[in-house]
Amino acid sequence: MRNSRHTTIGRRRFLGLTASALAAPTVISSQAWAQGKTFVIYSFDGVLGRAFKEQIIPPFEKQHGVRVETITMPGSVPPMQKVKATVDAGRPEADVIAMQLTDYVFARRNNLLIPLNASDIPEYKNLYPQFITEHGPGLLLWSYGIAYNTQQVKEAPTSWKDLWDQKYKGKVAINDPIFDQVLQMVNLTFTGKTLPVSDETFKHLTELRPNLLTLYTTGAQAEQLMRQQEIVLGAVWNSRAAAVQDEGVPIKFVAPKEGIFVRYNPFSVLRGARDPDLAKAWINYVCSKEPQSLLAEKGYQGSPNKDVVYSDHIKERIIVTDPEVLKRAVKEDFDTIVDNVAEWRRRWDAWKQA
Amino acid sequence: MRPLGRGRGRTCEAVMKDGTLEPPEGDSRRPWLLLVPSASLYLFTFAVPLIVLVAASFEKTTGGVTVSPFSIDNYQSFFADGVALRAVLHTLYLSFVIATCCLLFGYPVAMTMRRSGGRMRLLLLFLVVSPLLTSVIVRNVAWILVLGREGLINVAWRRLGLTTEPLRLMYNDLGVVIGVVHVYLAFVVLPVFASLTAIDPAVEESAASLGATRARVFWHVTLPLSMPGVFAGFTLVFVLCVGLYLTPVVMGGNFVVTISMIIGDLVRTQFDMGRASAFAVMVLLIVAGLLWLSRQFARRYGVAT
Amino acid sequence: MTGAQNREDAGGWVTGSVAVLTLAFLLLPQVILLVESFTADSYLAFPPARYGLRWYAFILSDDDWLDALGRSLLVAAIVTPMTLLLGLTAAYALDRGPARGRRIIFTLLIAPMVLPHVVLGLAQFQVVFWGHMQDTVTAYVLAHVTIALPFAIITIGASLQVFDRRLEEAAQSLGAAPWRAAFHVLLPVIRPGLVAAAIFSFITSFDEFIITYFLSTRRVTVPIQIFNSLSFQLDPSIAAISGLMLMLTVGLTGFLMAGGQISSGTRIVR
Repeated sequence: MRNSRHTTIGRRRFLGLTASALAAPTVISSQAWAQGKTFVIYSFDGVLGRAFKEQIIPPFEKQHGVRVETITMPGSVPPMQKVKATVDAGRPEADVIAMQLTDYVFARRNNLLIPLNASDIPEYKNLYPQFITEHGPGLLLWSYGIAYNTQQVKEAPTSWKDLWDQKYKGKVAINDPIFDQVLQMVNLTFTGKTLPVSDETFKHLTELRPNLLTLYTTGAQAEQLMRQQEIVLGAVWNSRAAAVQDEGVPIKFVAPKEGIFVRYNPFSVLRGARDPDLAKAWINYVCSKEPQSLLAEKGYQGSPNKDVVYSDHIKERIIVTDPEVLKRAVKEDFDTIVDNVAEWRRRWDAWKQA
Repeated sequence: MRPLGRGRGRTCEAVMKDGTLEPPEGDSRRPWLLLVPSASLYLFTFAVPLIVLVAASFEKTTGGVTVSPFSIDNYQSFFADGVALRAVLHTLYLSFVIATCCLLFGYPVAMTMRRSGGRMRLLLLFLVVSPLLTSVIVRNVAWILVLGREGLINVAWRRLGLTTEPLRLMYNDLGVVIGVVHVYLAFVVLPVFASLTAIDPAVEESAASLGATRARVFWHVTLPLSMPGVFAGFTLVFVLCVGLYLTPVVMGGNFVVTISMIIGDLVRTQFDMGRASAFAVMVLLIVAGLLWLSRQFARRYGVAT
Repeated sequence: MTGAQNREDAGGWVTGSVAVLTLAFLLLPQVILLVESFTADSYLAFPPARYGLRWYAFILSDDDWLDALGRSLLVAAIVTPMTLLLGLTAAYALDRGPARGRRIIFTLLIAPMVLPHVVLGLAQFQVVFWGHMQDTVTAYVLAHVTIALPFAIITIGASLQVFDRRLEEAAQSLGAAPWRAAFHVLLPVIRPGLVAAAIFSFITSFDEFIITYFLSTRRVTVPIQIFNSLSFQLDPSIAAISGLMLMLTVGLTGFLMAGGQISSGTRIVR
C-alpha cells in the first residue's frame, strides 16, 4: 500500500481506544510503516500486564503500524541495575519504562532518562499537575491505607492508631516490602510527621507486635490473608483490598485521618531509546482518557487524567478520586528515602528478629 | 579357548599390551580418567564461582558502585550489624529442631518400611519421597490452607470443641518446622532404612532368644547398629537447613529470619554483592565446620560413615 | 508374662501409629493441592465450592506458563542423561580406582549437595552474568547438573558397591572386551541405581528454584513462574501446575521402572 510521506492521524478512524490515540499529533515516517517496526517497552506482570497486552497495546499497534514487544518485569519491579548497565552502554533493552518513585530517584541520579515536557506529551494539559514529573507523567495512582473486615470490625477505623488497638491482637498484618511506608506511617501517627525514623519509631512498632499475625511479603499474600479472614485489619494497598472486596469478601478500604500515602509510577523514556518519538507517542497514548479508564476499571489504579470518569463502584475502591481524600495525601521525600533506606532496612531486620 | 565375540580375544589374564585393558581388581590410575567429565563441570560451575565469590566478598560496594576493591568491611558487618549473626544463630537453632523432629518421626517410618514386604516397601518409599515431587513454594501455599486460622486443622479443632482460640500454627517457628520436616523427612528415612536393612536379623533374634524383650532388643541392638544411618541422616538434614530460604518466608511470616534470606535480600533488593558474598563465605565456613565436627563426633563414638 | 507381652505390643503399636500419622502428614498437602487443582473458583479456598478443569486449561493455554513449562522440560530432559553419564563415570572411577584419595575426591564430588543453594546461586550468578550467559538454557543445565550429580554419584555408587565383579570377570573370561562386559553385564545389573538417579535428576532439575532464580531475568522455569505468579496473584493456577508436575513425575517414574524392577536386585539382560 502506498503511503504519503506523512501519515496524518486523521486518516484512520477506530472506536474507543484508538480514538484517543488520534489526539496525539505524532509524525511517523513512511519508512517505519513499511518496515513493520518493533517497539519495545518494559511491562508489568499479572492483571495489569494482561490488561496492557490485551487491550491497551493492540490499538496502538494498529494506529502506528508497529509491533509492540513487552519485556515483563518479574513482580512488576523494574530491573534498575540492568537498565543502568544497558543505558550506560548506549543500548537500552527497551524504550519506555514505568518505575516506582524510589527507582525514579535512582534513574534521575544516574541520568538514565530523557526529560519530557508539554510539547512532547500534549496530554499533559489534561493531567493534574502534581503528578507530572520532569521525565514523564506519574500514572497508576495507588494508595496505602487501612483495610478492614466489615463483619468482624464493628466500627470503621478512622485512625492508623486503630491498628494498635488491643482487641485486634493477632489479627493484624502490615507489609514487609516497601517497609519505608510502615516507618513513615508510624511516625505520622505518633509525631504528626513522617520523618525522621528513630528509636521512637521502632519502640512503637514493638508495641504493635502483639497485634501482628504476620508481615506479608507480597500483595497477593495480603489478599489471601483477608480472603481467609486470618486478619481483620491490615495496612494494605488499595488495589489488593479492592480485589478481595470484589470477590465478595466483606472488606472495605479507608483513608485514616492522619493521612494516606499516594504513590504513582512515572512513565519515562530511556536515554538512548531507539525511537524516542514513538516512545513519547506511546506515553501520550497511555495517559489519555481511554487507557486510563481501563486501568482504573481493571487494576483499581487511580489516574492523574482529569477527564477520566469513574463509576461509583470504582470510586469506592480508588479512594484517591475523592479530592478530599487526595488532600490527605502525605508528601513523601523520595530522595531522603533512597538515601536512608539501607540503614532503615538494617534496623527493620533487627526489629523483625527481636 | 576360542574367543567369543568380535573383541580382540582378551581373557582375564590379558595384560596391558595395548594399554586399554584394565585388570579387574582396579588399582591402576586409569579409572580416574573417568573423573575428567565431572571434574571439568565442577571447575566451571563450582570451583571458579567459589573463587569469584571469595574475591567479591572483599569488594566494598555502595549503591551498586564499587568503592574499594579490598576491604574487610563486609566481614565486619557480618559480626557487627546485629542482624546477620542473630540470623545465623536462629538458623542453627531451627536446623537442630528440624533435624531432631525428622529423626523422631522418620525412624518409625524406616522401621515400618523394614518390616514390610517388597510392594509395601515401594509404596511407603513413594509416600516418603512424594513431598519432594512438589515445588517448594506450592507446598507451602498448601500448608496455609491447612494450618491457617481458618485452615483444616483449626476448623477440625473447633468442631471437636477442643479450643475456642485458634492455634497459631503458622507465621512462626512452628510453621517453619512443620513445613521443612515435611520435605526433609525423606533424607532421614532413606539412610536410616539403609542402615536398618544392613542389620543381620540373626543378631536381633539371638538377643531375643536369650530373653531380651522387644524393647531391649531395640535399644541395645537395633538402635546402636543403625547409628550410621541415624547419624548420616541427622547431619544431612542439619546442613541442608542452613540453606533455608523460601519456606521461612511463606511459613514464618517474615518474623523468622534465616541467614540465607538475608543473603538473598542483599542480592535481589540491595544489590550489595560484596556483603552478600561475604555472608555467603561465612555460611560456607559454618557448613564446613559443621561437617568437620560431625566427622570428629562420628570417629570418637565409633560410628562408621 | 502377659504384662511384658502387652508392653511389647504397646511398643510396636506406638511405632506403627507414629509411622502412619507421619505418612498421613506427608500426604496431606499433596492431597489438598490435587483437590484444589480441580477447583473452578478464582481463588484458593478449601474445600472448593465448585469443581472443573478450568485451571488446567488455563496453564496449558497461557503464554507465560507454556513458555516456562517448555523450558523446564527441555532443561530437565538434557540434565537427566547428562547427570547419568557424569554420575556413572564418576562413580565408576571412585569404585574401581585406587583406594587412596578416594575419600577426598568423594567429598569434593558431593560438596554441591550440602552447600546452601543461595550460596551456590550467588557464586554462579556472578560468573554467569559476567559471561553474559544469564537466561540461557546452557547455564540452567550446567547449574542443575551440578546439584543433581552428588546424589547420582551416591546412588550409582551404592549399586556399584554391591555389584558382584565376578560377573564382569566371567564375561571377560568368555572373551568379551572390557567395555562390552561393562555394557552388557554391569549396566543391566546396576539398573535400579541408574533409574533412581535418573528420577532424582529429573525432579531436582524440574523443581529447582533458588539457583535458577539467581541466574534468570526473563526466561524463567516453572518454579520461578510459580513464584512470580504468587507475588502478584495467589490463584489456583499453581495448584494446577503442581498437579501437572505430579502426574509428570509419577508418569516418568512408572515409565522408567517399567523397564526393570527396582525392589528386586539382579537381573541380567540377555
